[in-house]
Amino acid sequence: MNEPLVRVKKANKTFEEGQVVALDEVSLEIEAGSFVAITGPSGSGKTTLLNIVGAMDVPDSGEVFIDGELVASGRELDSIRARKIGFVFQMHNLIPVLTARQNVEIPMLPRPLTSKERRARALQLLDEVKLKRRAESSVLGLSGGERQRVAIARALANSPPLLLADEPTGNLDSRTGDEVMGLLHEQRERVGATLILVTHNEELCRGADQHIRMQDGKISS
Amino acid sequence: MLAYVLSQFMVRKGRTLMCLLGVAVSVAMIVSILSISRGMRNSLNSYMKESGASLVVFDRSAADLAFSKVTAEEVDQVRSIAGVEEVSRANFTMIMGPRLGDKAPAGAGLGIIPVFGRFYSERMIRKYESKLIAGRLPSKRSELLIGDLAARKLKVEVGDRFPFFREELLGIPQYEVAGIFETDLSWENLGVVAHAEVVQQKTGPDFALIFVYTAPEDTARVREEVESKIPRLIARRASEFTDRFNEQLAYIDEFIFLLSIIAGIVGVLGVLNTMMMSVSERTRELGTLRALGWTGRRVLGVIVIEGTFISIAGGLLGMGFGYLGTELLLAFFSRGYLVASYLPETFLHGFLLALLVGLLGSLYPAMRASALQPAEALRYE
Repeated sequence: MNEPLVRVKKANKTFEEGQVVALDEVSLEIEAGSFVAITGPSGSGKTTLLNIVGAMDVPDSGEVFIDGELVASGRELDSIRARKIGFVFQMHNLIPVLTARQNVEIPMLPRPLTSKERRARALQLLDEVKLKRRAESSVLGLSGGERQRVAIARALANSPPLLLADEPTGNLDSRTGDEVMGLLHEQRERVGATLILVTHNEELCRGADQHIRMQDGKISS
Repeated sequence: MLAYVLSQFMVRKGRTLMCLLGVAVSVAMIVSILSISRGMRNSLNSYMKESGASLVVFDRSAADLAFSKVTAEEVDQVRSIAGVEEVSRANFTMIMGPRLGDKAPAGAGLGIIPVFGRFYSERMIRKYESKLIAGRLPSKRSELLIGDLAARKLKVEVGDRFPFFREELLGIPQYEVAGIFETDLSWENLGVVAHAEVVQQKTGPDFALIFVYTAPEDTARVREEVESKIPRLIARRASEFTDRFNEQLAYIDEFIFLLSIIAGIVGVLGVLNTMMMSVSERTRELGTLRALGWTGRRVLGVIVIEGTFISIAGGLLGMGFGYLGTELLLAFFSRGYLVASYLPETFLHGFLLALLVGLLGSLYPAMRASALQPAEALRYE
């Protein structure tokens, strides 16, 4: 049997000196290439779980493996994020002072690529999300949907096996949201990546290979 | 990454500019003071070197040439040393508001005029031969040689006669301008060469210094002999004249060092403040970069580069300001008494100061930025 892409074993995480329990003995496995939806009310631990799976945080106890690598601490986290994970945030989190192309190049900067190679890769990705013509536009001049498409291109820059999306349509109208989700799924399938989606919107969970419902820091179903 | 760094300046133009100007003013101040200090030192050396003398001999204990005394007997002792070809005696005074009689420009405040006393029969006066722009060298005690700037200031020409000194010295009621000279040293151009016997009436019988002429192969020996025969005196090669005043000049260097530290602290605080605000405002952005795989070290590097970039740009601007400011100071306020030398090491000093300011000022904000945890930074409102 294949090793799961993500394996979380009895992860615990608390905040405010143990007063707030964000994750309580959470264990899960996510297969490579699957689409996983995480839902739950606010404060249920969805984002904390996403942060831990995304190597942005480590659990107080328990273990997390991504693509066979133990997520521990320090520089390994940076390296795992750079190589294995692509993020799409709710607020897109693009760098406002840069162009669409420059934003897509940002995750590639730590890699040993020439500026020419980075540029070519960024333009190719912008082409994939149908934004090549706006490549040299400042992201401030793009619409919300266009910005999120740039964010998807940026998430794919290093061809990560794992895509994490935290409420990617939260700030978009439903039609644009559907377009963005369609694009996200299209790109995920194209590159064969695993998509973990955190959302309040049950509609977006349709077709998920795995649906994780969080409640009070635990997986309820 | 460069695009990212540069674009940050465009977003915060006003703050970047203010920070840059702060560093520029600090660097300009240092460049200006250093240029003037070096200029004065070089001009003194150059003055001594132009005399053509092998050695300059003066009072060992005098903290300044104004207090140096070489007696007539000591001059004779030096003359008697084998290998000494010639000795020229020099004295010096400064007079306030020379009398020009009916030549005086109406309402003119004529200010301070340096008066260099020379014997017209001695070799030292010949250095002015090649510097004359009008007239001839003086030959009588009642004749003067005037610097170009002084002539313009006093509005006198060759052949003009006037009392010059407030009191009648050696029974000379009026002095005639024999010639006008121009040298590279503005403070010399502002002066007047009078006969040393006339100046002696103001300064007393002693001389401030003597210029000794020898054959090149005899210079070292004569120097040693002067100092061993007359321990009260010191002999220096003309080109090394200011070395004797290293102790005094060291005070100036220490003063400049202190000013550099103060200017540096002001600059560091400016860069620190700018970069701290920048890091604080960009917490989410920096968190995003970390989330995208940038290491803390890379973020640290970006912030240090940003701070250093502003500082170096300020430093380059400051070098320009320093040069322009010094030129304006010399042109409008120094009345010709100050001289500046723009040496490469002065600008290197300014550049290094800016570099250090940038590095020190941005290091702490950069460390703060690099320590940001991506998850926390992304939650930051």
